[in-house]
Amino acid sequence: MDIFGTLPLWILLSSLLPGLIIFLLKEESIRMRTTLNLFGAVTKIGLIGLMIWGVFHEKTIEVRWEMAPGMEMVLHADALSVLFVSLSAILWLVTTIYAIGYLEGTPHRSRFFGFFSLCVTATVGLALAGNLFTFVIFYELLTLATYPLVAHKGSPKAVRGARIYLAYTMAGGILLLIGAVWLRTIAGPLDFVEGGVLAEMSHLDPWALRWIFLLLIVGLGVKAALVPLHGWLPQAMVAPAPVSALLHAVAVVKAGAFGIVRVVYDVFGVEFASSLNLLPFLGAVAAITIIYGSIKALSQDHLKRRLAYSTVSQVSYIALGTAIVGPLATIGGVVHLVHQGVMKITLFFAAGNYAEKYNVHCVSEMDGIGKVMPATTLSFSIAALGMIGIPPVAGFVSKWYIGVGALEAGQGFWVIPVLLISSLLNAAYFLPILYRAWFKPAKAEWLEEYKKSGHKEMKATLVWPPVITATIAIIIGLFAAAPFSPLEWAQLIASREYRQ
Amino acid sequence: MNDVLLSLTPALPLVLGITSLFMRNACSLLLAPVFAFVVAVLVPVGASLELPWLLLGSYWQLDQTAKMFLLFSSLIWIIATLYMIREKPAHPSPQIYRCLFMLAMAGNFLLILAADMVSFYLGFAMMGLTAYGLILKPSQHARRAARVYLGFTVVGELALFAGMIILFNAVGSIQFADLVEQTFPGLAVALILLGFGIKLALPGLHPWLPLTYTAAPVITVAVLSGPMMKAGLLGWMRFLAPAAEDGMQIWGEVLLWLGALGVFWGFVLAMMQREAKAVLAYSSVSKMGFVSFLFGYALVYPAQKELILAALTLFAMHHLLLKPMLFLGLADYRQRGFNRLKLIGIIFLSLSMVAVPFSGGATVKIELAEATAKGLTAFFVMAGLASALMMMHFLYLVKHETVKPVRQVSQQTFDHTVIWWLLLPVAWWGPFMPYETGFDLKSLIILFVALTIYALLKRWFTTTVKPSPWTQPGDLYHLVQPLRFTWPVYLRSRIKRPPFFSRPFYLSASQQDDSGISLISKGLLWLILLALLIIAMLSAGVG
Amino acid sequence: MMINDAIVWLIAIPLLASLLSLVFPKKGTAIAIAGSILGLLASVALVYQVYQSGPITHELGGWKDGLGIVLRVDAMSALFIVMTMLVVTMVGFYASAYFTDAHKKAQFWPLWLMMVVALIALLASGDLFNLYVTLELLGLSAVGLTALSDNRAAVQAAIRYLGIGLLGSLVFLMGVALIYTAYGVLDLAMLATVVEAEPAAQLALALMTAGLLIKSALFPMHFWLPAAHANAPAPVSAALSALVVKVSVYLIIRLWFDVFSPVLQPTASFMLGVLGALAVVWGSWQALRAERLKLMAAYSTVAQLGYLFIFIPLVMAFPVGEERNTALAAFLLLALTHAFAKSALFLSSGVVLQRAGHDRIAELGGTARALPLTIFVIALAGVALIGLPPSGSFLGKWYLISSAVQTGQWWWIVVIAMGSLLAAGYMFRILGHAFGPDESIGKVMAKGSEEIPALILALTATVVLGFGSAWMWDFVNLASPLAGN
Repeated sequence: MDIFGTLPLWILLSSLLPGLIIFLLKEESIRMRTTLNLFGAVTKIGLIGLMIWGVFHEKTIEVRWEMAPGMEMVLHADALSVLFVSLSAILWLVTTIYAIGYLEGTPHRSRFFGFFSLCVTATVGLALAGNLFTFVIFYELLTLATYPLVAHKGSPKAVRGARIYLAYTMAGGILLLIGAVWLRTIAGPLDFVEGGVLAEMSHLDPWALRWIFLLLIVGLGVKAALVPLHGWLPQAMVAPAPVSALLHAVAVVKAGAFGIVRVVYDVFGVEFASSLNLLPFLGAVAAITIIYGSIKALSQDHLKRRLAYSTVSQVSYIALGTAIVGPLATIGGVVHLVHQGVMKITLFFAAGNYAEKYNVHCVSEMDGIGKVMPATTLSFSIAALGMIGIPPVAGFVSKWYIGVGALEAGQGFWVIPVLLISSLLNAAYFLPILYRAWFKPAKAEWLEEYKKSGHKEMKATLVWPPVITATIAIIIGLFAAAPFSPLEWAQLIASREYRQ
Repeated sequence: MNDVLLSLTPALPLVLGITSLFMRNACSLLLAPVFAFVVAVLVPVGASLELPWLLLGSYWQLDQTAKMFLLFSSLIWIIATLYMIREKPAHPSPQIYRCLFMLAMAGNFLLILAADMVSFYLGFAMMGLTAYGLILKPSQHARRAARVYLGFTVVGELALFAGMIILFNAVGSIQFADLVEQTFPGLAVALILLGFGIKLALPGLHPWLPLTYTAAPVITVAVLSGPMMKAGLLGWMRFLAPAAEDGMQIWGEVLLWLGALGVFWGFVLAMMQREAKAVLAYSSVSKMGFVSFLFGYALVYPAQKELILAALTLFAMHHLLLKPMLFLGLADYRQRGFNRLKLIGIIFLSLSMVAVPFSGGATVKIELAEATAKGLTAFFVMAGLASALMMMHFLYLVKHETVKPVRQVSQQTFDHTVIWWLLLPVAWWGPFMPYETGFDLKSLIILFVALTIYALLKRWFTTTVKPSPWTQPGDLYHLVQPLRFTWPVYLRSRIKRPPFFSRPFYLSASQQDDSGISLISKGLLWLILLALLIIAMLSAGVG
Repeated sequence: MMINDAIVWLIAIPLLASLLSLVFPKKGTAIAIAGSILGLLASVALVYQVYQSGPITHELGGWKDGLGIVLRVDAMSALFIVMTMLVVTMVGFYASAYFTDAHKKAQFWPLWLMMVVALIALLASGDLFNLYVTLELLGLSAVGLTALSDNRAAVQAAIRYLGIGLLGSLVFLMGVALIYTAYGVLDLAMLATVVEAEPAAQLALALMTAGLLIKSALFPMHFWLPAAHANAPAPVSAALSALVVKVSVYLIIRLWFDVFSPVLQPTASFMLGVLGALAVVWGSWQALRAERLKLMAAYSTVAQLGYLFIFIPLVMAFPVGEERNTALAAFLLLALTHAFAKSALFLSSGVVLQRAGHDRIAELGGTARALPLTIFVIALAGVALIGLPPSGSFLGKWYLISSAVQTGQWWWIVVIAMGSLLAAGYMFRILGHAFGPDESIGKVMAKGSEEIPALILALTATVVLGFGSAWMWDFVNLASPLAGN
């Protein structure tokens, strides 16, 4: 039983150690690198399985290490962190497989996979962070680990994109740091507690708390790409496809959104935050982001840019769900954390495949690509429909819960229109892609090549990841009510957050 | 056993649809609708299936209504599937067409069996969205029609989604059984009316219908005009019919007016068409107006609700069978060298449409009249007259329209001709057994009056009325089309480079070494600093 | 016996080594390395001793008060001594590979070891006159080391450095003389008991501080630093930036809070804070604009020293006791982290300069491929310089912000935020170029002895001090005369 005492540490090490070893590997030792990567990823999933069991049975899973007096690094597993950790671990495995195929034959792979593992380590650490101090540490580490990935190609454009990414996230990191220090100074070492802790501290100045909230949300909002802090996201899409996929689905953007959830629920407590009148502010920002992102996405011809703006819009559903007081909205926001990740990663895998196979980067070049890349395009379609909110793909479930939650909280009058307009815009920027891909005639040389290759789309490592994630997206939507589905888990989280 | 049968009904077309992408031979696809038909026949009313792990907890049931819908829808799906297998659909990608066709079928069966909102919505969305792909064929018209259809469908889905969650919030359950005698929020009712109203082509929401019916492949039109369209009515019956009466009256009246308008609008525009398919399309608008009218009537008079809805279901089934048969027959007639025999079949079906005695149509009319306690005789007479006139116009155009016979595409025409003829009597008698059919003298009189009127005004309908944007299939669309929204320039794609980052601004000027400051100024600087420090130190003595 | 005399050994060993290397120039490297390692061990022993038994006082020669040489070591000086020895050892390893010319080596080691003697003696000195002497010795050996570089710019910079250093020492000496005439004592501990808030003491403190400000290159007195640090040989730059300027800051803190606490004025401390803030902004800005790697590192030093001065008004605002000690421990942590990180950065710059033939930032493309470990070290050093977790400076900055919040001096937070952002800007600018497409640099390999010492230093700054520094707070609390014990 002692294993639970160090479990979070092992989960971190399961990606950290392979990452560090990979750095030292020679470029040519492909087999060794692949083995290490996959071993780490599979081990992590196994350990997380154990952790899920532990959290479900309300075991205490915690590691503490004092870094300075009163400042402890705490890795703690609760229901929310388990949700995020599982998402990262599973998508990491899939993305690793994809990346192995995608980067085959390109230079600097040891470096890439090293940072890739570090990136996941940071994400997992972020998910397991047990207090704001630890969260800030991993939040910054995440920035560090992703920067080389964004700049990986080394072209001036990539370096520029990485620079912009860094400028935004560093600024956000500083604000988050200031907010965290301020809160730590006036309120003491606050561990994340389901239901929040600040409500009981009546001696604190509410205005100071409001300022702190603002600092924290702005700091996190940079990564979560809330408008007007989203500018880095479309620039960062210069990264290789697996990186974009991970960036948009789990690592960076989601880290920001996850942080917002943490701050609102486990630091302030949603009811207390609401009593300070903070949530309407968050809700308004989220709503503006949702609409703005969708409108911007409409006019992008570059596929990855369109997807990037779509992320801007979709991730804010999480913030929106968080900004509404009530268990149903909480479920919606939290479950979207998973659902958006699975769907978005599929879209980016597919976009990567298009670029890789036929050098297709723009929507206007995608005519008929469904005929020569059916599996990829089918996955893309499923994910896109899910983004719009078409059942049975997962996106529908999130929208349902956010909508119902808003109604339950009496906020429906503005949330429902936001949901509807956003879905309409989602349809407006995704459906034309599907039309082009499936129904427009394909280029003759593509058809010829497809025929020549014996109807083989691409290598398996590139085709399977989107297919797998698209299947997951359908499964978690279709069997949303099944035990241990993300939805059920989100319900568990909500029930624990609102236990008091 | 029933559980397995019920769950397989939508699952089978789904699985077959997906596997059809990888198969050359499409014959196995027929299995799905036939299976659904067998289920509809064999499984007793009341069989239900609970799937708590599916979606948000699903509940499927085969009640009386579902049984009717499943029975007749599956018949149309059978014949449509057969056509699809035998005849290569005029579609950019037959394989994709087959897959989408099967998915639409799965959606249709699912929504028929659904006893909870989410399953229904899933089926409805699957059916509605895949139909988009079925409409596309390589022609400008079809693409435009598909686009318009998709626009309407997406709006409909969203309205339905919003209505559904508002309803759920008010009622607290997603099962239809729990909606009974609940008070519905007005907004939910409005949104649900809108959501399904688009499928039922309420006036104003109908432009997609004529556009689609005239442009899409005939197989698509067959399933669209039959099973898919009636799904809208089923939606209303599932979602709105159980509601408590208070607050529903007003919506009933709205529907009454909209329905009446639809009957009239469809009729007028049908008479102005120069194309047989378009007449059938507008006739559908008119008929669905009639359906809406009756549904509204049921809402306004809750006492007769049960009866009216039962009769309305029969009417819908009748139309569900007839329309696709007409479309398919028409296409066959055109494509296979204007077969005289086929024409007779078409006329025969048209007669049932105008409710000649001993047809299904007539029986339906009688049922409806009884259900409404004969309070709507005048309306029925007018609607019957309109219907008769439309059918005459249709038949006239079938005979006189100048269309080149299309060269025969497929060799094996035998089996689907056979099945068409086999289905003909079923469609004729509609949802009734032959011995149940009634005799209604009124309809004969109406028919003769209509014949007379048409004979007198034939010239006016067919030559005098000049085509205009108003009267083209898709009327309203052509009026609104010039106003089409285009994105403002500032929202269009362009790569924006924030000036701050475009070039590292801090490198713009060459750097000066700080040591370049002259020695004197350095010295001065230091002395000032020293003085300041001393003053600061000494300030304590002053204070 | 051995352990208790650690501080004596710490001075004796480098001194002996320095003389030996002068006598046996061919064995210089071995002697120096051996001396450094022994010194490092002794410094660890010293920390252990102070941790166990509190501040220690050692009187050389046995003469009583005021006449002999008194050595005092408390938590702050012990930590600085360890820092010095670790940096010196690692840089020594690097230097053994850096200098290929035997003649240069023969010149380098004696001077280098003399500088170490001066550093340790200064940190351990217990009276004002000895402080002056060691300060002078340190300045001279540093100038000598700077001049080892061949190019004209280095010699010029060295000469300027010499002048500045002498000026600073002289002003310091004036202050010392003033104190001696007013109180007749030079021993720091005795002075602390008699000093009062009167003009003589105030003037003396002002003079000494002003002298030290020049030596510690606080803005706007920093003008000599970039040229000197950027043009010196890489090992020398590392020591200058990491150690030599820092001991001046150490001295200011020591004098202000330890000796002259009755004299202190919030106005003056605020002034130093403002200058520190200006240094942060100006230094970072210039570092961002720098075209050469070493120049950037030098300006970064100007900025990082600014942070240390921001601590002065914050420490002042706390009453003597645990809170002040917490702030001081954070100061120490920040200073230590900077020393390790900056020396690692300079060593890596040296590797780049030697292997790529230049250190122009804009032309660093391809270095990440050619010198991956070196670039990795630069990145690690960057993490510490920016103040990102898990480095020690992250914790230092955390406390800096926390102290600012606690004492209501929120304006420093703005400066810290700006400084961190600019630091991120200049560090990642280098990495951005290093990851860029290959341009000039061919296939080069660096020797392990060049890269490993820097790696150790950088890891110490980022990982060891981040995760393993919790004991330092206890240490400062236990063994600091500043706390009043």
